[in-house]
Amino acid sequence: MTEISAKKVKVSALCELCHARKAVMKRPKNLQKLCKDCFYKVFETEIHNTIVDAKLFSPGDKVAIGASGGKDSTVLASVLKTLNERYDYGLILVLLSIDEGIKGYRDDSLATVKRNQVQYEMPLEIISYRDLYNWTMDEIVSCAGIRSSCTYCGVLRRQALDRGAAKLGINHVVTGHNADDMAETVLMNLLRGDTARLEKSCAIITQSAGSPIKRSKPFKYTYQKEIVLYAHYKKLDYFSTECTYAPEAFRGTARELLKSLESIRPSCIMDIIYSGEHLVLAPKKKKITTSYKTNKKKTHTENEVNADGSVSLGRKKQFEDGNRCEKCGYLSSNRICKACMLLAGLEMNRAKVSIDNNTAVDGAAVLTRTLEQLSF
Amino acid sequence: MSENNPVKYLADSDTECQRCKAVPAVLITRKEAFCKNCFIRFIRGKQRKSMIDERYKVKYGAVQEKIGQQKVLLALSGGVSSLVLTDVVASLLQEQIESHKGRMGFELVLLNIDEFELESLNKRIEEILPILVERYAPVNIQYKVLSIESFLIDRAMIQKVLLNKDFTAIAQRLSDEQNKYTVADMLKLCPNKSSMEDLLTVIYEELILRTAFIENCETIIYGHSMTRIANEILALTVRGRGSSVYKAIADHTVQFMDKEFTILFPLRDVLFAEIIAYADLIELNKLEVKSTIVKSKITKNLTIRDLTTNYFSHLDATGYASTASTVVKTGEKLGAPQFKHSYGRCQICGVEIYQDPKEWLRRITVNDAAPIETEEEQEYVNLYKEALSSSETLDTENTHPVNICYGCIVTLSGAKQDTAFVWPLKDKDTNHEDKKVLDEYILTDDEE
Ligand code: SF4
Ligand SMILES: [Zn+2]
Ligand SMILES: [Zn+2]
Ligand SMILES: [Zn+2]
Ligand SMILES: [Zn+2]
Repeated sequence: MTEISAKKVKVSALCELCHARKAVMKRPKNLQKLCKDCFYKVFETEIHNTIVDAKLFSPGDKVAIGASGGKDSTVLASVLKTLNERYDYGLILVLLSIDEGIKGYRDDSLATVKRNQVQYEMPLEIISYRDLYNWTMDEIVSCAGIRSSCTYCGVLRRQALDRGAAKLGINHVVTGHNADDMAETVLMNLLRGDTARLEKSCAIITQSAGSPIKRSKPFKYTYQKEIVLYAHYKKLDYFSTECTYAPEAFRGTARELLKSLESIRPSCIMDIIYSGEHLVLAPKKKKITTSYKTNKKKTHTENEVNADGSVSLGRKKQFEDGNRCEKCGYLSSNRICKACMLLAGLEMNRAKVSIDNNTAVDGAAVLTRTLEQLSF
Repeated sequence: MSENNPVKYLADSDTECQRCKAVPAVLITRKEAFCKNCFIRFIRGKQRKSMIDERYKVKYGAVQEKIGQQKVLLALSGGVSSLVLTDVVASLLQEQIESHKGRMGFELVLLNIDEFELESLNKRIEEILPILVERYAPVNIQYKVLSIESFLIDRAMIQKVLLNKDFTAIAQRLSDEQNKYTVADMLKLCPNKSSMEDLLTVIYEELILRTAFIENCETIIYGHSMTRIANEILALTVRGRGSSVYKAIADHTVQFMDKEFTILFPLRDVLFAEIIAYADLIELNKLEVKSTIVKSKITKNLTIRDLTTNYFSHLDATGYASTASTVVKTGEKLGAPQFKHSYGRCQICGVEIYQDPKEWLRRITVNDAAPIETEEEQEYVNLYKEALSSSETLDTENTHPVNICYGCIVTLSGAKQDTAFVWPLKDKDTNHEDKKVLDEYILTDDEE
């Protein structure tokens, strides 16, 4: 028995939770020294608690896991499979991947998802930008520039996921957004003054106006570092290269700040999320202008223009209307949906590019113009 | 850094002041060129606008009768912002004296709270105060210096506080002989520098309110620049105190000891760079009280406030200078959190608790062990138990639960079990103003 020689673990080196096994790691969330088994236990239980508290699922639900092949979504698929079996959620889980068309990144990561499909025995659906929009991200970037890549990509992905889910007859997509992402979003919304999003920055379930598909984030409270550790100990097969189109510079500054903060106070990611759950807008003060006080009937209701240039109509109204995009038929609160708007801008650009072969088109400007058209 | 400084200084320029169009400009800020006088008037105008209320004006007759003599307390740290605010407000009083035959709209009281790390300051506040006040004669400005130790009014309130693994907190009263703590001692028991920083704000706030109460000041003013307020918003969010943002940074009123106080930040529209420029122009900067401690370059040795401060100055230097104003505007739009119940007030810092922090933390920081599977593992557990019983365990007798907010849980976590943490605890359900009433009017309390 090899155990005999391995024995003599000092009491002080034991796991702080079970006191039965040697501690092998410091837990990033609170620096507790844990054994592997206890780490799995707390990691999985916390996600289970999050799912139960937010009533994310009901038995029989068919749920699509937004799978990119990266560590977050790979661990999500693995943990959901484990929890579904352990706690009898009764879920039917499907992998849903988006192929943005990014060479050297997405093609390799999709290979990982295909292996995951076998490993987790889940069906896989791949939706590509090329099939859906007749554009790949590589083409978009070469046309519109690298600076706004994530803006395009985000809008297109949102719709691609919705369409993929609809195709599979699914109305719930779970994504691998983790606690670090949540905290970063809270900070970003504050720093950019995005009041429209600020209140919702910590919502675990989101549903865009007019969309029948809801999205949720079971990893809302899960630390990125713990996801990495879990993947490492469980030897999960994931793809760790970052997208070639780096995130925008300003977001990078917030990410750096969060990293330094975490290094002096590990709980700060949770602390920021707790704070974020308490940030609400004050009821709008109605300005009473004495001269108009009498009889001034509301002749028109003003639409507020959001930071992204879109216009918020009354929320309920949007749902009732069930408007569809005139171009693609997709649910949209505007006459033309955001994706079609962006693509139209690109088409104009593509035409221009092919005529005068001007490669130095300012993509950001095109994007701003396009988004401006969204507001009335 | 200077290249992106929001304020550009002009040396011997031929640029004309865009305001008076009479003299050369000395600086450019907000895309406008200012001469010295116009710039000073511009900054003063910000304060005049913020304190435009009738009560700060020279009042006569019925109005004077109704509003009464007003007193304004200015929190003076000795830093450049508070010096500039003093100058701006004192200049207002000077103008009032000149145009109203010696009458002032309000009395001004400067309050300095002695820094905790006194030795670290480059000069004593007591040296600069007389010089500062002298500058504004014939305006009569009072000043007070308060020791941080005056935070303790009732030694009996001091208790030992412990945070349990399940995030509940318990407190234990101290015997008279144990209870020798000074405020400085209590701060030294903080688990880390950021916690100390957090609790220092609690102390300052309470001391300032108390002084306003004792001195009969209806208004409290702070010299915070826009940059500083933005920093405050970010730091509160990071410290898990997001629920206080809407109150902490807006001009607002607070109830304290049954009285209402107006809290104003008259320089909230002024950039920190503009405050420095103002101080330079009128040579106030030589009075500035500064810490001589050189901030570490190593992140590990910094506090949360240090990091957020660095963050904003980094943004200024990289061309994102407008971020501070965006953050302040966002903060100003916030309101009170909407939750169904309230969990009372925090007994350490006094904030209202909206969402049970213990429950919240427990769900996402599970402390259950994985099952014990082998005999060997069981042996270790036994060994551990033996070791535990032989070492001294904390006596949990005479402890009682304490209600604490999320921010204070974070501040306390990491406090050592043996030395623990001590603090003058507030009452759980009643606010201290209620307590005062009880103390005054109830002769015996048989229920205890
Ligand atoms: S980083 Fe940006 S461009 Fe790359 S996949 Fe993500 S959203 Fe798309
Ligand atoms: Zn263990
Ligand atoms: Zn469309
Ligand atoms: Zn001028
Ligand atoms: Zn508190």
